[in-house]
Amino acid sequence: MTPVAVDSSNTTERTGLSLSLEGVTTYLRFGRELKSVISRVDLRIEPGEIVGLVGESGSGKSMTARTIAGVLPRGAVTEGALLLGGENLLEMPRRRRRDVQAKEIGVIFQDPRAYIDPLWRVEVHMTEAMRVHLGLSRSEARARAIELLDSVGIDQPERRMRQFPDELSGGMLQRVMIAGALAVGPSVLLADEATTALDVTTQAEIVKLLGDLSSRRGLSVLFITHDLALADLVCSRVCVMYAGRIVEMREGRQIFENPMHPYTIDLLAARPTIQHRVERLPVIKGVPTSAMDAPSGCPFHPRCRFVLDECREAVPALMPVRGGLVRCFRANEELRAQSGSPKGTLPDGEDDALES
Amino acid sequence: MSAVASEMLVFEHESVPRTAGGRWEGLFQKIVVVISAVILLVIVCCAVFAPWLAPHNPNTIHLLDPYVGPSRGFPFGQDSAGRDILSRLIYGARLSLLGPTIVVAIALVGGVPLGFLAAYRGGFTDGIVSRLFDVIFAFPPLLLAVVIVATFGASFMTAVLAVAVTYIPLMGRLVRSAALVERSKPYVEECRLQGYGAWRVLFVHVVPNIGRILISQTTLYFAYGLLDLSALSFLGLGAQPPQIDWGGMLENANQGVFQSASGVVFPAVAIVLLVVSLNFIADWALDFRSRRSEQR
Repeated sequence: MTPVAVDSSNTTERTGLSLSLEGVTTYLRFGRELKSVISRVDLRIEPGEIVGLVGESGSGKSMTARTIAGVLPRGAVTEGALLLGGENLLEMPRRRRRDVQAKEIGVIFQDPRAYIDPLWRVEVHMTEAMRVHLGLSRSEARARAIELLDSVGIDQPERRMRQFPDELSGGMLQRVMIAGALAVGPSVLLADEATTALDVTTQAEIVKLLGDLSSRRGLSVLFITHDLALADLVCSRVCVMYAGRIVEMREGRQIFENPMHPYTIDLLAARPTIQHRVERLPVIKGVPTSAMDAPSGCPFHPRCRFVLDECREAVPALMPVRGGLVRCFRANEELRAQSGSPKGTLPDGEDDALES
Repeated sequence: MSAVASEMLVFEHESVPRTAGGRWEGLFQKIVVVISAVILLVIVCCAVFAPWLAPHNPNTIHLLDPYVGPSRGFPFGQDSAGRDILSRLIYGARLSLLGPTIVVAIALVGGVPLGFLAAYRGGFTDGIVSRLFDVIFAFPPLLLAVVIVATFGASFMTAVLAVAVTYIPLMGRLVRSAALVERSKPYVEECRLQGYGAWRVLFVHVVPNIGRILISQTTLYFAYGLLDLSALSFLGLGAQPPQIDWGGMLENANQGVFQSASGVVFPAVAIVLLVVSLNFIADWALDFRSRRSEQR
């Protein structure tokens, strides 16, 4: 394998841009109605940083990514500020916004096979964006595509360029998609469940690759997953989403040790651990709701073990608690200590030992 | 119905692997394709070089020898007016190739843009186009063609246009449903993410992906067109004498079938050969996936 030569050209010429969402709300159109799918989302990703976004299906993770990338269904409305390097994308003229989003934001998905045109060779997928956006000639684009494939750890890149998507494995194809997403040198990479469909070994490789790319290229990465442990491992900060809202944000490695929001506490309690044998894993009663049919007040209140009257009426703000942000009226009350340790969580004593 | 049908078509093409033990099968397919290609080539040559190939003038009448079977001078026999069937077959290849070609061309030119328009604009436009198709669909195609021919007078071109009109909605519906399916696939969204223009996505990604369905259906419609035109000629509503086509020859030979079968058999065999060999070649052309892996 040739040593990585491309990166110098890409990292030195550009410093990455930070991405921040300020009070972003997205509505989808259903007939004459607008219903919100994400609500007042605040999020900031610095260049070289990987921020995790975790939540259940329907919690609004993917809609957040779609809002950022600008691929919402027809008739969708976004409010708030979507800042890329300080410029608000939502205030740009449509055409320019599409252009910036296409060039500055790369997206990879759970199922790379579905997201690549099966009819063309890998070469076409890799070079198309460079030829369209950067006006490169066929041979220039080809050379860069080979370098890119090489930089994401694909061996025999020339041979891969001549192959068709159905001839590559899932992990290999995900690398191709990553390389393709990086083709025009974006500042932001959105990984929407990008490792979910891969086996654990490949998952580990892709995660490592994302980490490398993020630090080497100064990419701002949003890592969307429903795998709390993986997010915790990969990300410098983790946001937990529920019903279209961010309910808790913590520095990496903190969310397991210091969950403050009742949802996060119960979510972590519901995970199986190898330290304890339990008859049945605890569950969170009720079913997850999406932002659309969230109840008034805190969206989690119908399922919350610590619910107060005020929870039913007002939506709590994100409040700083113990080095993180928590959207709960009782965030300061050390709920986990009161939670009576649902079966399956660590007993308090042992827990403290871990923390110290 | 058509959305499901087109999805099944895609499914069929994409997921049926060529069997591993298909060595003999592969060889057999190759032989069939070569034979089909030869037949097609012969028919095309007949059409192009008819004056040089035909042993007799196809319209020379020998009234004393109606319905005569194959003989030394007339290897395929003679028809109701004693005309040489072989020569008529050779000349007939011209209209029998030209007719369906025009039908298919018109169906493509009319149906493909309408189908895409309906799929892409949706809503009101889709409604108008689809209802228009429904109106044409409401008539049995051959009956509609008969009505059109009866209205405008029987001639080869009227017959061709009449059949073509009934094929536009067939093609349009197929393209509409295929485009709807294709357009909602994730890779099209990926194209949107990459910021490619709508026309680029249409022509570089969507159309080529629909292409296989389009090609296979086009050959199928060619065959149907040939049969429909033959049927019209058989009813006396197609090519008029002295024009010759295979369907017309069948009609002419029909009354004398018990005296000599050759007037019916040879044009019928010619029609079948053309249709079948075209289908084999189209199958082969679409099966590029297996050939692609052979090349590696």
